[in-house]
Formats: sequence, C-alpha cells, structure tokens
Amino acid sequence: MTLELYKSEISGNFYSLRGTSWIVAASLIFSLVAYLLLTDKELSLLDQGEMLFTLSEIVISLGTIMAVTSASSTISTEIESKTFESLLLTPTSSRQIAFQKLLSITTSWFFLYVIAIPYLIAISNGTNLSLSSILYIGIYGTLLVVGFSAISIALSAKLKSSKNSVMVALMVLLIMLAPSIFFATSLKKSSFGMAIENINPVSHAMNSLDNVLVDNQQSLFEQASHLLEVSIFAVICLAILTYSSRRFEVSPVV
Amino acid sequence: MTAASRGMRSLVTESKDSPASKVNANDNSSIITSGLSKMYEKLKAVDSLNLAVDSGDIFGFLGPNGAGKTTTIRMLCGLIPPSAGIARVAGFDIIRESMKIRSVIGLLPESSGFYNWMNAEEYLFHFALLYKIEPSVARNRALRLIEKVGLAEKAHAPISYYSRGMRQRLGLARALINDPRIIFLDEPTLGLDPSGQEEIRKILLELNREKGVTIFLSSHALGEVSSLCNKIAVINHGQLIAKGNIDELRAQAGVSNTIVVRVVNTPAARLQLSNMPFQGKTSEEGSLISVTFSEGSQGPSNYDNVIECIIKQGLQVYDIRRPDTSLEEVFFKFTRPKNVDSDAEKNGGVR
Amino acid sequence: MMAARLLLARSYESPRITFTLCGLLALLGYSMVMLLDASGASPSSDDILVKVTSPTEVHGSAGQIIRIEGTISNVGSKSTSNSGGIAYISIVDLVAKVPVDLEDWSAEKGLYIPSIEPGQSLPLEWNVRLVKAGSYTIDILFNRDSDLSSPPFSSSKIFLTVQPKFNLNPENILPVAFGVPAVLLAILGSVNYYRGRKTGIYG
Repeated sequence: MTLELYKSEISGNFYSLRGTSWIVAASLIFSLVAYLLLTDKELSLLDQGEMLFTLSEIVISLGTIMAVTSASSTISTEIESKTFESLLLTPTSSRQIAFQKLLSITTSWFFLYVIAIPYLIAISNGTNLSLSSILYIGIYGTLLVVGFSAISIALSAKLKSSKNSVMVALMVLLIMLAPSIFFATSLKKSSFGMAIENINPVSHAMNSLDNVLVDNQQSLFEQASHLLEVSIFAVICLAILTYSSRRFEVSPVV
Repeated sequence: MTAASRGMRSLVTESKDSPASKVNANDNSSIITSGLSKMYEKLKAVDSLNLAVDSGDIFGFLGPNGAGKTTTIRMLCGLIPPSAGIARVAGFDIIRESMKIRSVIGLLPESSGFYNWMNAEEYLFHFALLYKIEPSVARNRALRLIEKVGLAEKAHAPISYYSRGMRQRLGLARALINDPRIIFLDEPTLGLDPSGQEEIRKILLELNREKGVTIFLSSHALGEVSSLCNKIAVINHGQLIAKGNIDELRAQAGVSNTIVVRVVNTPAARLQLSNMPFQGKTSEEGSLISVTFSEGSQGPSNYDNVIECIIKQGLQVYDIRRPDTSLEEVFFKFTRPKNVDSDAEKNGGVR
Repeated sequence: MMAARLLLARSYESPRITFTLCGLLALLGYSMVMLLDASGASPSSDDILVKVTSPTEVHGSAGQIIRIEGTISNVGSKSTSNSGGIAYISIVDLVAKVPVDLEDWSAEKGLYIPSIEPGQSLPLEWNVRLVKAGSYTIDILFNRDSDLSSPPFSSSKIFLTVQPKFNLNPENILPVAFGVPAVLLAILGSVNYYRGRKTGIYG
C-alpha cells in the first residue's frame, strides 16, 4: 500500500500556517507552564510529581484538542474545497484514505509529544519520574489521540461540513474531559461520578498518571486496568472508523 | 456500428435485453447504461438513462442546468452509487468494479479544487503516485503534461497563485495523468480564453485520433460540442430526450439545417446562383453574396450536395459554413418547455 | 479557706459528714489520676488503647514523606471486646483552623482491622506526604465496628510543623523554555524559506 497520501498530508502540515502554528503554540504553552512551575513562588511549592502531573495534563489535553480539530475537518474540508472528488477517483480505497489521514494526525501528535519531552525532563530533574512520565504520557496520549481522531474522521465524512463536524467532535471531547476538569472531588466520589469515571478513557488516563507521578506507582502492572480501559476505547473507535469508511461519497448535486 | 450500439437502438425498457449484459467484457473503451437512475430522497436526479458510447467516440452530453449531467458523470465514474439500473464503463460494472474503473478513466469536473500549497509539478506527481505509477515514470509524465497544457512557465509556482484558466489546464493534466482510456469532461473550457479553448480542443482531438481515447464531454459551449463530437445526447429533468449525431438530432427536433455559402459578388456569380438547383435566401454583403440554403425538401439534402453543385457551377467561393446556431436551435427545441415553444410560434418565432 | 476550716471542725462532731468528705476526696483523686495518664486512655471504654510510637513532635519540609507509627492494643479481658474496626489518621490545620483533606497527603487513609483479640497489640503505620507548609496536629483514631455510636478511640496528639520548600530552579528550565521554541521556529522558518525559494515566492 502506497503511503503517498500520508506523506502529502504531513508535508501539507509543515508547509501550511495551520500545521506549524499548532506546534509553535504548543511549545510556547509548555514553556510558559514549565517556567511558572519552577520559578513562581506559590507554584513551586508543589511537589515535583504534582508539577509533572500538571504538565502531563496539558500535553495530553493539547494533543487531543489538536487531533480532534484536525481530524474532524480533514474530510469535510476536502469535500468543501472540492479536492475530494479527484482523490476518490484514484485507486486508493476509502478505507486507505481514512487510515492514512489518521496516521498523519497521529504523526502530528508524535511531533508535539517529542517537543514536550525536554520539558518533562527539566521538571523531573532529581526525581526518578523522568522515564515514567515520558513513557506513560506517550502511551496514554497516543491511545487517546488515535481514538478521538478515528471518531472525528468518521464524523467528518458523515457530516460533510467542517463547521458541524468540528463542533460535534469538540463537544464529544469536552464531555470526556469534563469529569477531570469540572467535577469537584465530592462529585467524583459519588456513585454517579464514579460510574462516569469508570467508562471515561480520559479519566482513566488522568487517574493513572496521578498514580504514577504523584503516588509513585510506576509499574505497568499497577496501571494495567487503566491501560486496558483506554486501549479498549481506542480499539472501539478504530472499529467505528473501519465500518464507516467502507465507502465515501461526495456531496450530491441536484 | 458495434454490437453494443445496435443493442441500444433496439432497447426500449426491456430489462431482459439489457445491453450491459450483451457487452463484451473485453470491450475496453465503451460506456453502456441501462435504466440508470439516481434518487435523492424524493427527487429524481437521473431517470432511467439508456446510453451507449462506442470506443473512440467523442460523445457530447447536453442539457440545461440541473438536468442530471453531473450526477450521471459521477455515477459513471463510480463516485456515487446508482439507485437503480446498471452501467458498464470500459467493460467494468460501476458498482462492483468501481476500483478498476478508476484506473482507466480520467475526470475533469466542472469545478475542481486543488491543494494550494503544492505547485503543478508536485500536484501531478502526487496524483501519479496515487495511481501507483512508478516514481521515475510519474515525474516524466507530469513534466510532459505540464508542457502539453501550457503551464511550463508557472510549473514551480504554488497553485494558490494560479488563475481560473490555469487551474482548468492543471485539472485537465490531472485527468490525463494515468493515461486513461476514457475521459469525462464537465465544461472543460470554462474560464479559458479563446486561445486556451483552442488548445484544449486540440489536445482532446489529438488524444482521440492518436490514442483512440473515448471522450465524454458535457458542455454548454454548443459550438465546441458541434465541432468536436460525433455523437450527442440531450438530457432534461434526468431523462434522455434525444441522441444521435448532429444531423439525426436536427431531424428528431424537426429543425432544418442551413448552409451558408458566400461567393465573390460578380454579375456572373449572380447568374450562376440563379441557376442553382436549390432555392436559397440571398443577401449581398459588399463584395460578397451570401446564400443561405435550408437542407430539406426544397434545398440540398446535405452539405455534400451543395459543394458538388458549387463545383459544377464554377463559382468563386469565399467560404461555406454550417452556422452553430443550428445546434442551439436543436438544443432549445429539446429543452424548452412545450408551451414556450407554442407561444414563440404565435409571436412569430420570437424567443 | 474559712469554709474549709469550718467544715473540718464540724466533721469531727458528725461521722456522716466525715464519710461523705472522704468519698468526695477519693473520687477527686481518681479523676486526677485518670486525667494525668499521658498514654491517652479511652474516654468511653477501657479495653482499646491507641498509642503513638513515633515522635510526637515532628518537623519537616513540604514535599517530604514522614511516617506515623502507633499501636492499637486490646487491653480488655472479655471475649466480646475483640471486634474489629477502622484505624485512621486525622490532620487538623492549626493556622487555617480546618481539618485537612487527606487526598494528597496519604494514599492509605484508613486501615481496617478485622479483629483484635484481648491482650493483642497490632502495629499501625501511615506514610504521609507533607503537602503544604503550616502547623498541624495529627491524631490516630479507631472506630470500633460493634460500637459505632460511641466516640472513636484516640491517641495522643502529634504536633507537626511543615516548613515551605521552594523548588525555585530557573537554571534547569530557562534553556528549555527559550531553547525549544527558538529551535522550532528556526527549523520551521528554514523549511518554509526553502520552500518559498523553490516555488519562486522569495525569488
């Protein structure tokens, strides 16, 4: 299978303002947060594990937002700019188109993750958390990005409108992020909150990172249940994309 | 006349005698449809279309806006599935073998988008690779096509800088990148200046004559259609109204053909014209005399008759032409609503 | 003083007054002995004893992990006094005057003891991360399953003082905070400049 579409998507990201601005903006945010954590008097009272956890939340949140925004408009933008027709005419199947686009978005996440590594190393300096933070952020970030991107691409092809698909995809992401961001500790501990946390892959990822970085439970065995939940989420999303990408169509002309 | 087209002529709506089933699967450059339809909820975009395009034809596909031309082309290219009916393109079924069809066809849509960050060379190279052409072959082919469509000077500039006409040329180059056996063109000369239009026509004729490429042309430029196409179909409200060559269409429309002959204005010429076996409307245009003959019972039966007669008379001919307006008349005849026609007749033929 | 002398004088005259006085004095003495017992005897029952075995005055700095150790003993004799319960720690912020949410301080907030036989003594242990600077008291408490309506058994207090810890470390972060964006901009700028030259935008 030729990966020509994947290569052109990556090139397009590098040569376009949208693609490069994401990466630069992310690095500036990481710089600001890391600088504040280590130089602001109040923030620096935090334990290094807490600092790492804060930065890891930001890395994963930024990664998933970037992935969802790109993925939810990837096919609808091609339809709206009338480039999709010529793409569908090539002997590249709809499924190949979908998965090569997914791969390009995952690669963009990978670049963001690589940029975050120096910050993680700087903040974890003096602890034994460097390797764990890099490993777990890589694993959870990749699984979440793959999952959310897959769903977003499927939405993009179905809705055929960038405005609608971006809005719906971001809403789905917000609902998943809500328990970690908006729920108070008391609500999290209620039966409703715990039920939500049990099925929410983002909650699993964040709780696992908390266990690793703050509570020092670094072994894979200890985080196995969380890893499994997030992996299942990614697999389900990939299955949805596989099913929905059997055949892509352009917008009707009547 | 191929077996396929003979099959089409005898076909009404009999699904048992579906011409698609009579098509030789090895017939690599034909298009055949039988009962091809497309519904969008309650709206019938294409209704029971029966077409046959032989290998090597330049086939004109006419119709007013919203007639179903684009939908038909998209179905034939395998971009959208039909709601009913069957079709074969280059011997492949459009539903079950759409991937094979893509390898042998090219399409220039009416409005096509481009990846604006690429330049022409990168764009064509990208598509050549998507068509699984070897990179070295792809590169050479891309450069050759850029040269052919007249974009060599701007090959390295980003497509975002291209004018409408340049994008149209690039779109044609993309449609040809995989060396297709059948090309679908939807308004190929739209946005082009006259020299650009001429160049496109030359390219298409060259492809047809030298490589036997079948061309399926949808255009509102009737002059272009009449000069290029050997077969024409007219579609309206999703239904096929008429098909055949230009003379057959004229006959079906009941529109008389006209031939205009202009000769040098001399007293001898005036005498010779009066001795012509055909009656024509004569008008003097300075140093020329223009005679308009209507083909039919009172005039020459065809173009060749006129030429034969002129040669016999020894007239000094300036030019002989068949005005394009005759196809326009045919088009209007088929596509205008009937009450408008009768009103026009009442008003002395005013459109 | 005058009243006491009068009472004493009268007691010589009446034996009842003498007896009552002695009883009152004995009761007072017993209460004093109970109050003076620094090992923290249970106020409600005398069969469970919770003691602190680690230092009762602790000084640390924020981020540090300290260990709180104690014992729980069943000093009763009855077989019915061997029911289990939950041992837990309670931390009170003396500056803010609020109890502390142990969410970030300790991973194991409660230790369940299924049963404790008469005469048995079990060790208790908590690792506590000092999250925030300030002054605190820590109590080890035990809630018996069979008597939830009674107040918990409590140890004596541990007094904890946490000094703030400043992680101010700009030397580590400045090269990264400025360097990474700079390198990125340089790479992306070069790529786009090269691209612009190739496509003729920059001549």
